[in-house]
Amino acid sequence: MKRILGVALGVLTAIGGFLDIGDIVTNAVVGSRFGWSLAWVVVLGVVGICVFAQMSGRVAAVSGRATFEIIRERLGPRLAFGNLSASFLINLLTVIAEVGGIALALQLASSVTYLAWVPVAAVAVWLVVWRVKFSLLENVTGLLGLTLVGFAVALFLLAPDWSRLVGEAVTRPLQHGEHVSTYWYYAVALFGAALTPYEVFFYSSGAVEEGWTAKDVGQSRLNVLVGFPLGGLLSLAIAGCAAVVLLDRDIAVTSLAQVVLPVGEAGGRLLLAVIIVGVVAATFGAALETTLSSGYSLAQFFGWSWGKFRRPAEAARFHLVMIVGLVVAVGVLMTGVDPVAVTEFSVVFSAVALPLTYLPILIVSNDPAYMGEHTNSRLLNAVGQVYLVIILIASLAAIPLMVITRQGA
Amino acid sequence: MVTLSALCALVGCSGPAQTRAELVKSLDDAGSAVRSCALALDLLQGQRVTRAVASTTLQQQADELASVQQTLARLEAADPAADAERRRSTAAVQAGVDEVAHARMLLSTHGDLAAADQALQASGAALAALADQVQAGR
Repeated sequence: MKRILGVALGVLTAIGGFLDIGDIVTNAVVGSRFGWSLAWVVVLGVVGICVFAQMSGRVAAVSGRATFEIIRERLGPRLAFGNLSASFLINLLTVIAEVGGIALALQLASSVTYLAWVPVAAVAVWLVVWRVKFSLLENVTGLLGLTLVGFAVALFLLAPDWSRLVGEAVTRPLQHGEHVSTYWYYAVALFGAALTPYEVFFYSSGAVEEGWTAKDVGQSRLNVLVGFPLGGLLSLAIAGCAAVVLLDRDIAVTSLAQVVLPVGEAGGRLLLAVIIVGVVAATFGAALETTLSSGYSLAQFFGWSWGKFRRPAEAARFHLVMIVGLVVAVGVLMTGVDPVAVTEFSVVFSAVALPLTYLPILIVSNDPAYMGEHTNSRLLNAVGQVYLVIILIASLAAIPLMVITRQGA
Repeated sequence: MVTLSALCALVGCSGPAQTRAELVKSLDDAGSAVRSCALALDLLQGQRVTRAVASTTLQQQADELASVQQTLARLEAADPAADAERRRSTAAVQAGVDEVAHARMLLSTHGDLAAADQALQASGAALAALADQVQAGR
């Protein structure tokens, strides 16, 4: 019974923890401008994150080593340093976006300007990272994030023309006035949002934090293969709500407040309150994950003592990196920069850095000397290689598309 | 320099056609912002959203409109016809800005939101109509 509860908790946490500010905003923007015609990218991204997250979890469980330790070993210090620099900066961009996301969500609840909430959010993230046990922070934010299921409820309450939505998903028409390059720009952004590198840094480091062994590989696989696709359905629900309510009114999403309007229309204030709790939980959970990931990546690369299973005094540099990251996030947000714009940048630049993150994971999980009987099967290896090609194409296309479309304008 | 020129040619950042595209984009953005405010007020009157959500929507869309106004102010018209279109667009966006500001004032003073909602809807429709006209080159 305890085992079943553990599995259920893992799956529920994976669903609730799947979405972050990048997913929420990008899916709503895409839904309001393209309907469900980019739904195929969500499916592609979810399969990709399932493939690589379960690989990184398996590598961590079998070898006891997290992603960045492996990246340095496999790529060598120089190339790995380039990888570290890119990943760290993108991760920092994501920390800024997530802290901004918490503040924006709290503004929705209070109507007090998000700038007042930015330092509060950052201090709360720091306190939790500093004081709260890893399993507790992961489970509580994941379970509260489950309230985002409200988007799926809202979509059903809106009683959409399902044949139209599914038709858009299948035939992928360009909506009125949208250019084909903009369509592909958002395809890359959506793909980047689903496969954000911090997710695997956090997942593999979390496996080490929780002391996974080869015996935990099965549960890890179940969490990923059930939890993430269900999380992906929530992405589609967000896009669907925006498509039904906003696309027909010719409203393009540029702010978090617009994302929740369809929920109000569908379910009134009660469902709206549930969704705001979910957005706060999802962004707070992601802020914790990205903050920890910034500490993980630097500490693992330089061989510092790291982990929440150690007392802060025993992993001082790991904790210092996280504090500095949060201070930088607050500093940037207090300049008045639009957190939604930062989010859009972060998902596109995530797409740029994807090959650097996922290639070493594929190499190591395919190495029998490391993995023994847990080496990739031929099928998984083939899927991983196909994904690396897709990831490479997305990575190369991201910046040119951003320039050509003027960031999706 | 060559790369920059090629990039400019690729994204079309010069000439009357580009000015028209910028105007249409600005009018679309402004129309979207004004219609968002109308939707928020509509939902608030139906007690579907909270005052905080409606107020945040209006504030964020007012920022969006300010950004559109900056874009329009920076836009250089290539000829007198384009300049006339730019002035019409600027006036239409200003009307939207005024309606949003009025709606925010009514929201904060618990005033009559129904009239503000209608005015916003009219302004949103006017912006959409003007965008269509500019797009068609009329």
